[in-house]
Amino acid sequence: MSDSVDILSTLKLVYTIYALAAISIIGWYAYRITRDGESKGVVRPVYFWSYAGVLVILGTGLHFLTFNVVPWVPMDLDRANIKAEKTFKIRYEKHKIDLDEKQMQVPCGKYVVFDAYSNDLTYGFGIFRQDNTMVAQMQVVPDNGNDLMWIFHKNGTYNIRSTEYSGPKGSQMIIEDAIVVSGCQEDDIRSMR
Amino acid sequence: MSFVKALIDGNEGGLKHEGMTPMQKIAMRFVVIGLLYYGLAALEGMIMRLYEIKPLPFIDESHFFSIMTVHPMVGIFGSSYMIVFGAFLFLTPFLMKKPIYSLKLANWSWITIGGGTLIMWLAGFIFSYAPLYTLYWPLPADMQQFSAIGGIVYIVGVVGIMIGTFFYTYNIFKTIVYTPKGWEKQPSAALLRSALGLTAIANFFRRKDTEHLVPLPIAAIARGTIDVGLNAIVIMSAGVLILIYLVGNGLFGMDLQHTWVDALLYKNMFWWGLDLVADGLVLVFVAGTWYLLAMMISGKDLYMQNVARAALFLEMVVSWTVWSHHLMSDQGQSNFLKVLSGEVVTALELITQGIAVFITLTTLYKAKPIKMSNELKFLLGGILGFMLAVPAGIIQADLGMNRVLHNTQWIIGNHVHVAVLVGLTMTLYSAIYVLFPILTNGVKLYSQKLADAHFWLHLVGGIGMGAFMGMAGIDGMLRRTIYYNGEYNTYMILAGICGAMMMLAFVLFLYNVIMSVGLKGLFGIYKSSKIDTNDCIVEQKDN
Amino acid sequence: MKYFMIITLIIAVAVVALFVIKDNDAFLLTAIAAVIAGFWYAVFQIPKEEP
Repeated sequence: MSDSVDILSTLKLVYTIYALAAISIIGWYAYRITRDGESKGVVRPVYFWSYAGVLVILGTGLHFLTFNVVPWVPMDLDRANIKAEKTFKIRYEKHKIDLDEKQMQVPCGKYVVFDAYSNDLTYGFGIFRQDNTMVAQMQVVPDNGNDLMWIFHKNGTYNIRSTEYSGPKGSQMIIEDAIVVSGCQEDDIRSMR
Repeated sequence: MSFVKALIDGNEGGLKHEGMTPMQKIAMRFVVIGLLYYGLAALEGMIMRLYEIKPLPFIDESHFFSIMTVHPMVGIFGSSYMIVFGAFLFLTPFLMKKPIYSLKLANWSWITIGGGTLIMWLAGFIFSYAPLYTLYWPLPADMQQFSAIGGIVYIVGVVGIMIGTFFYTYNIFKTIVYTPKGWEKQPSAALLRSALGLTAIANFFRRKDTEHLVPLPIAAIARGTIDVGLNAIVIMSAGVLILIYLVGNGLFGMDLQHTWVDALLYKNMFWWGLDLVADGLVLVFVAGTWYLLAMMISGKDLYMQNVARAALFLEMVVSWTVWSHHLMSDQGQSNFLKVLSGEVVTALELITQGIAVFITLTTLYKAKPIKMSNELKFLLGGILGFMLAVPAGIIQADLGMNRVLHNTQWIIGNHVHVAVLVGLTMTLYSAIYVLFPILTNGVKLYSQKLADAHFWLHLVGGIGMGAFMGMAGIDGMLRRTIYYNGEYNTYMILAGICGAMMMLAFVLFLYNVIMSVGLKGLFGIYKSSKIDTNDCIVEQKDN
Repeated sequence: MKYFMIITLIIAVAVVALFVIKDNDAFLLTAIAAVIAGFWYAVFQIPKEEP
């Protein structure tokens, strides 16, 4: 089951290839436009409309792709109808993160919900590995519901960090080793203690 | 010619400000202040770049974040708005072939926007007011972290900027529709409907051809300016709300509760407004500028002109509906809005901007061979910037990707700064190089070598900085955060080098402009014009 | 002056709305629908252009 590392490394590869291609196209164009030569072929409307069609497919296709490939998308959209094994309550107040369960014990392969509540400012709830890569995050908007349903497939110990700016006092809101996942066959090698 | 003489008098005589019309002076006043504020934003940016490598001992955290608060405001309003408004207040009468509606209002625009930006900046510099430009409720009214007076000064500055913005908006639309004294009555309603695209829409459904009453760039200016005005209303509303709490709680010791305003609703309204800038006027103005530049550089009509006009209209309407892509990670936001507004209609921006790229490049290609001038170089750089930044934006406006990209350096690096610094800024530089001879009555550029250095340093620096910030974001580096243990040092050092390249590019450009125009000419821009006319340039004849 | 009054009124309505409205979705959808409907109304109000 893919996790954020898989998704983001794919993004890095695909986007780098695309960026290099875009730079090359403009570079090639800049070279060609200063040269003599026939330019009639490029202006046919069929090229234009085909190109517009490709943009439509890419723009909408990305979302169909991620719905089917990124495991947390259908889960997030349907979370109101999925029963969670455990719900962890997290309170944010005066730039402190307070956990009901001081070290959240998460069973492998089961749906859990992180239910965060703030009664003063906007914060963020971010789950990070020991190597600082992000597992997931959500905003924590005051006096509103902020629930993140997640499922872990690898053992590991994770930190929590506020991912949203809440003023200078909130710049280092971190709880180390806040989440421990156990019972999986595979370890998250980026997040073992 | 000695260096000092060239510095004072300019290149080959420099700018003869006595021969400038009031309109030329007004445009240059906007552009000069806009460029100076760009320099300020670049300086602040470099301070933050250094801080992200290693926190600087003489700047404490609250000041770091107050720099971060004013930086986008200086960049967006102090710099970009100023340059764009100056150019469009000149171009609208120029292309409509009629005098501007009000020189006075145009002058008051740069004064209030420039002055408002300075006041807003002082709130950060003196009072360390640091809620960030996002102003997430109730942080801007948080008396535990910020002083009431700092917040009030900030809001006063922002109000000044918005008043100048309203002046610009009114002046642009009045110029399009009004009848100058002594002229035959203009078809005002028809002109406005044509400028906004309403006539074309109506005729499309009536299966009629449309005769366009305004040139294509005016259509872009008009449609983008609708978003300028609407955004100013939203920003003013947020400002008034914050002011109520700052004055009430901060100055009068009242007990106004932040819970009386729902933070999620506020965030929705705020982002609806701000997306009119980022996903509305920026894209519409940039597309319109590309079309104008393509036509001026190639000397040809725009390829697929009617589609270009339709895309400008579509982009304006789309900009009113996309704001939820800023709330993809807000779990209180409904799935319906996240998918429809955040993903589906946002994807339309790939199409509208992608079409603009194709149309511009095709228009130019039809005229080949074309000399690789400064304006063409920077235009291609601007197009490349949006080719990189728009797909990055579409990627992050996806429910799956947003979960792991939101609030990381990917957003602010790969997307925002590549869009703003490479896409928008290089487009503006292209416009500046094209308008420079028109606004200065033919002043010759001091050094082509400096212009070349400006181009390459800015392009490579801009793309490089975005790339390294983006890669750090993929590795989990957050935005709006200070890292004390050197966790992302390598990326931040590389991003810092690229930032320094852009800083150097700007310094070289500024030097080149000053040596071309001369200090006498530069200061002369702010003296009253000796020519009594509302026309843009002296040769322009009334109808 | 007329436009100054209209803009002030819109800002005042927006600020009051922030205090009064509690249902996010209903408000936003109504507002968007109103903008689009207003635009559509304006389009179809355009009289036939004189040649």
